[in-house]
Amino acid sequence: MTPEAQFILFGLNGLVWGLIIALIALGLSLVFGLIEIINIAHGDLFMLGAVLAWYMIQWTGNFWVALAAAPLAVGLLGMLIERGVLRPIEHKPIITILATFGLSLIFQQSVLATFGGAPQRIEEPIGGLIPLVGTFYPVYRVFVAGCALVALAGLWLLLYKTRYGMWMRAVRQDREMAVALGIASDQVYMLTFGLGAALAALGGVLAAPVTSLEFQMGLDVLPTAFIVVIIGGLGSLQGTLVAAVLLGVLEGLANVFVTPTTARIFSLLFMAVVLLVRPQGIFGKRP
Amino acid sequence: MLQVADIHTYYGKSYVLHGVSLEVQPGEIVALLGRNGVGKTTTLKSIMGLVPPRRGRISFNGQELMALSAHRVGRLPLGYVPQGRRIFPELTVNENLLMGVGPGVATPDALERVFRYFPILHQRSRQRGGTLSGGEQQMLAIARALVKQPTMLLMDEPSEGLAPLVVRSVKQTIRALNQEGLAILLAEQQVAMALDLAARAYIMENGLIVYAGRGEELRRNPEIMKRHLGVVV
Ligand SMILES: Nc1ncnc2c1ncn2[C@@H]1O[C@H](COP(=O)(O)OP(=O)(O)O)[C@@H](O)[C@H]1O
Ligand SMILES: [Mg+2]
Repeated sequence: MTPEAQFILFGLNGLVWGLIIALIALGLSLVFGLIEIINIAHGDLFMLGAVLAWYMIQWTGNFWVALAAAPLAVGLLGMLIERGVLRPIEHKPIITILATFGLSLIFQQSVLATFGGAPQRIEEPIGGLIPLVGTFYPVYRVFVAGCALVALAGLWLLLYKTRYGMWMRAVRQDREMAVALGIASDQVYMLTFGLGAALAALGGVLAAPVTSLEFQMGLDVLPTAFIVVIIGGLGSLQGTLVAAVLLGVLEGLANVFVTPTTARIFSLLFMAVVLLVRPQGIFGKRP
Repeated sequence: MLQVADIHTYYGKSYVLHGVSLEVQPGEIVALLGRNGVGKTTTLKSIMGLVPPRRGRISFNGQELMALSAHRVGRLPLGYVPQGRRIFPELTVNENLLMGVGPGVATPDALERVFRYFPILHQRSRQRGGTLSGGEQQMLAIARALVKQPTMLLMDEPSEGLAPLVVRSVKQTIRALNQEGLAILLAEQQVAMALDLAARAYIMENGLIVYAGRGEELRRNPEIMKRHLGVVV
């Protein structure tokens, strides 16, 4: 492989990974916009998406069923978490952090107890390679990118072109006023949580065939998603998307020269530089 | 049409309304006067169910509001124009107006009516709410409360922070809306403006109504105004 080809391949890998991270980080950002708390269990919802997909593939032998059903199931779980855990504690900051941390441990341990500690793999549901710059690129990864883009477009349509999306944005901006205008903000909270969880799980299912599955796989993505949300500018969904892609490509390219662990340093450096130049993040508004 | 009877409201442990009673009849403008911090906003928020009173009764057109959750009150034909306008800054002017009907549907009639009152909002309909001037935001706040075609409006200091010329236009709007039959409960610190509009007035002090009477009667009693409001008009 020529160095240029290697560069392009790693860049593409980074782009695909960046789009998966974008799904996870947008879920995190949606929820953060409501309760101003980072949901510590968000990475584990990603993990649950991937692990559930593994089980569903064992039962049905069909990846496509898993792709649809796992995010749906985790989305319902997210709604249950909001209704059953976070609402009773009235979304109070400190208790919410502790509660989501507790949930994170519960999810990991439950998966460890049932799925086991050994990493598992899911086969790519679409085989095949596309010839590219004198070498080949897996079709499945192109599919992942396409799928993530479709989901992102769907999210955008939901938020900006439907009444429900308008209510979500309004509740995020001024909950009390939205209530005074007749919006059931409790319902909006619950569905936003569900949507955030479903996005994380969708990321998990899409990522499953290109990574290895284990009960702690969420531990790695949570900080990355968190960094992306901060770089993008807290509360800015466009910012989150842009930052995820930038970070993904940057890490991907760094992988050409250094090990993946060292590549992570580039992300942190990138965050440090962005925050030095623009403390409010790329798309964030000045406080 | 609106009866508030002996409501007691708290913010957590702090006891703010110590038994407020007032009423508004159909077609009336009623002023709710009082210095800063006496509980005007809390009274309006109590009516809307945003800060539910612990005791008392509130009824609107015979319906008990304290039995409803806040978003249900928000769906009644009772419009709320909050202090500080509370426009959704990232939503467009048009979206802010659509928010006004809650889960209902904005009829083209209702939208046309608010655009007739506030043509500027039509021109700005695609702009974000946060980019409007203070006066335009106040118009939007009033328009947003009107799209569900309410029979009564609660207005909280609509003149606050506006230039005199804009205050005059807000005043004209309030008068015009009232002439169309809307009942209005107007919390204000600008006593002169409020008394120009209102037939009746209540004065609040420390979470209590300390005076209730006709507007002209209040104007003839400068010592009452001096004592409770610190101004004479
Ligand atoms: N969110 C709140 N939490 C605690 N106290 C509040 C809150 N809002 C208002 N208060 C207090 O309640 C009292 C009445 O306030 P408010 O109803 O806003 O008065 P007004 O509208 O007449 O200026 C004030 O002493 C104020 O400090
Ligand atoms: Mg006030």
